[in-house]
Amino acid sequence: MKRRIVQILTTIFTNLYPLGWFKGRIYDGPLKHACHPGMQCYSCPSATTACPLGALQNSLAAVKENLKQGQFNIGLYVIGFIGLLGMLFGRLVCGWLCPFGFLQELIYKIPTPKFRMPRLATYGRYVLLFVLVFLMPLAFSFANADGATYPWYCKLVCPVGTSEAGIAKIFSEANLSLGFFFRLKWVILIGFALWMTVTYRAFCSAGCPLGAIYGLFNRISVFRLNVDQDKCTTCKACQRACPLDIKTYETPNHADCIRCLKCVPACKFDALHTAFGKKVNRGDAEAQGEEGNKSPESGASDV
Amino acid sequence: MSKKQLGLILFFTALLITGLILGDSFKVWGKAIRICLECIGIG
Repeated sequence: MKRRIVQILTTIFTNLYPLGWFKGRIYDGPLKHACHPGMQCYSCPSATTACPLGALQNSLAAVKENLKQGQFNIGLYVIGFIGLLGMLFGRLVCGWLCPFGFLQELIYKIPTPKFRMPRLATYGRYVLLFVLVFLMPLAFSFANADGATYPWYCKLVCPVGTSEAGIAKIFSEANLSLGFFFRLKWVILIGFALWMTVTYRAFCSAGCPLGAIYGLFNRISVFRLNVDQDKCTTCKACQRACPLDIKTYETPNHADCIRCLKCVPACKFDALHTAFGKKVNRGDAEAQGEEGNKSPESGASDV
Repeated sequence: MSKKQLGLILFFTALLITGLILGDSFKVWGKAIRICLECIGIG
């Protein structure tokens, strides 16, 4: 319930320009220079903040041109912003502050048969991150009028932009030329929308590069989940409570974990706790190649 | 909090502040709003 309230408040406070939907224009005031912590399209008519992933791509896409002109705008602001949030909270941002994550949870409530996300599909977000967010904006030289290359993830894939900005634009402007890329993105959006109804947070797990970045911080972030090995009976109640089917008792700070914290009250033995910067967990220690205090029955990390 | 965590937090904070001083958001995102329609695949 607490999480739901935070999600609703975050969505409201970062969409303070609802007139944009009626006027068909994007808010471009001073607040737009700040990033939203989660995925929210810069071009969403009501959005008052910028998408960090879009900002990162635009920054990287402009690096070559900026350096040519002797400017050192190489995306330090947005790298620092994402890195700082990642270091403090990890994917807590995904679970509590992301409007598109919130939307996915609402879509998942549609009564249909439900399926777990195949583990292999969760690597998709890393491929998208490397190829479309870092490699192509930095390496490809198809420049637009400003001399910058494109934010390729936004242009080719992002269902957040298609749903939050594309649909609004279609309704607000009658004579738009909808090209190949827009049709491609509609197919991707519909595909993800269907997937979201049957799999919890399908986009977060398989297609979100921002979640991939925050996930890399889960192991080292200051906010973390700790397992008290003396109390844990490996009953797996935490895994059963986890909508993402994560073995919390082994890897409480797994990169897929969005930190919805449903596992904490599910533990009847009071073995799971949230903490700021305390204790390295068993799973984390193994993954880092360190020697943790293992009990004889302790399993290997599933990362 | 470990030294590693503190070091990384300071590092990212330094990047953020440097980016702010350099005017990243004004110089880069000002262009972005003009190409936003291209970003969402319309154009």
